[in-house]
Amino acid sequence: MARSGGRGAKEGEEEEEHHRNPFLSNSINKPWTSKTQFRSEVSKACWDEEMGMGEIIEKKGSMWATTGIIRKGKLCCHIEEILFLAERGALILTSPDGKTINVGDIYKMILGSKFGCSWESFEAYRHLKSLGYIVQRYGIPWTLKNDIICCSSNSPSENNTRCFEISNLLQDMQISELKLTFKVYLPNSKFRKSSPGDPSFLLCLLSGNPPSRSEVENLEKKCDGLPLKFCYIDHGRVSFFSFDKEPLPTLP
Amino acid sequence: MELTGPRWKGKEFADTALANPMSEIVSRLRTSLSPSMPNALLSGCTALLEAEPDAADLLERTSIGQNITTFGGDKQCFQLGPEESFYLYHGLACIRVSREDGTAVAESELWNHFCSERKTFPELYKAYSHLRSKNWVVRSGTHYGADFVAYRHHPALVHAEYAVLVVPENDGKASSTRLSAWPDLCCSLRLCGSVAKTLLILYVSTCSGDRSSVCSLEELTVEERIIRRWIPERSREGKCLAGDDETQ
Repeated sequence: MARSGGRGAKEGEEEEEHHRNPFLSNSINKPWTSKTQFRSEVSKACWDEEMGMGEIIEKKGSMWATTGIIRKGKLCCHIEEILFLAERGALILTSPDGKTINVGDIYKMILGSKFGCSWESFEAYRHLKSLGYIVQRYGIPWTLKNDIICCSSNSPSENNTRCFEISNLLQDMQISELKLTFKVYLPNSKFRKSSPGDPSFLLCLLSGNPPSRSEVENLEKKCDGLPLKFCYIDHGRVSFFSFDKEPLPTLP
Repeated sequence: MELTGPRWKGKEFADTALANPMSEIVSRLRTSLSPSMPNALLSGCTALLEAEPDAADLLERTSIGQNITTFGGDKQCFQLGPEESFYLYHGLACIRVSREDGTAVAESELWNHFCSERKTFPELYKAYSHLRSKNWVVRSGTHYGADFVAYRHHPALVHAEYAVLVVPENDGKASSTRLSAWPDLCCSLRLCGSVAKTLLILYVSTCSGDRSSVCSLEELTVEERIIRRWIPERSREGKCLAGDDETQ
């Protein structure tokens, strides 16, 4: 919601949150109207508790080119991808016994941060996805064709996504150390999971205080030259910042 | 430009506000929620509360939380910030709080949780509840470079009047570096002016230095001060000597 220029009252008015007026006489007892359009193409996913992901069992719509990852030939989704689509009525999530898991319950799954995504991560994810960006968890390959992947574990039959995630977690496991959460690509209708190319930037989620210079520096080292952006979420408002090193040119 | 009094967003909104005093709406909210004591789920700084239609309507009217419901259904889902959660839990005593696994969170636990997320939570909450007790509507002000923004009534009806900065004090001395250097103070003042709000400082003090428990809330005191820039060039007519918000 950045606005440049403008002065005085007008700028203030533009920047304020949009608030629905609950005092309008016709808004009392008004049945809730969905913000989303009725969708005729609804995909279906089944939650796999062990994998901590949903497996897509019915694929509808064109968003699958940029959503979900391929594991053992199957299309799987993280919880934030599922919730984003479910909120929009584009996906129904069921438990293994076929029962529908409603959006309220999916919120609860995210709140627990049990499946690698916190509430704030979801808000950042949703914000960028709504704008058309392609967003995936940092450190997670788009596709894994077979089980044999460089993994330090002794047991080759282990689920390799888990293995990958765990080793990433362990690498970053220092209390209150900032870490990279998502990799983000510009909107791209020709995006291919099999050859995604480099992301446009990597995203680090912030809570609490702004990052210190040394925290930024440590993260930059992990970025391998890719641009780094920070996301700060406050009371549902999502903001993005960069702290790029930019030496000023020497003037004549 | 002189900014005096509230700026209503519509012609009849001042009357709407008069006909719907915030004190009454808050009271109705408490009456609506207390019998059922709905449960809010806690995660970090956020709590999610599912509310029945009547309660949802009142939460909207008091402008507490953010309605994040995207779908039809009986219940509506509200996202609450730390001060809002604690206000409903402790101030109005009309909700319970639990973790997503269902275990209830006791008052002291909730207090400690928010304090661990934010060092100045005691002062921030004291400021929030102080303003709410005077029936101002309080929302997050981070985006404006302040702790809170305060509205005379619902934000849909009126523009925010104050950008609120909370300055903790211990035994009369500031315990934060906020506003302790001129560039910071001028920055806050200029920023507030450019978004047409007055800068309100709430000095929240403790004498005993104890901020460790909910009980310490009672001992915190709040002093309201307004920082304004006075422009002598504009005040020579004598019309306004008190102050003139800079809107350069």
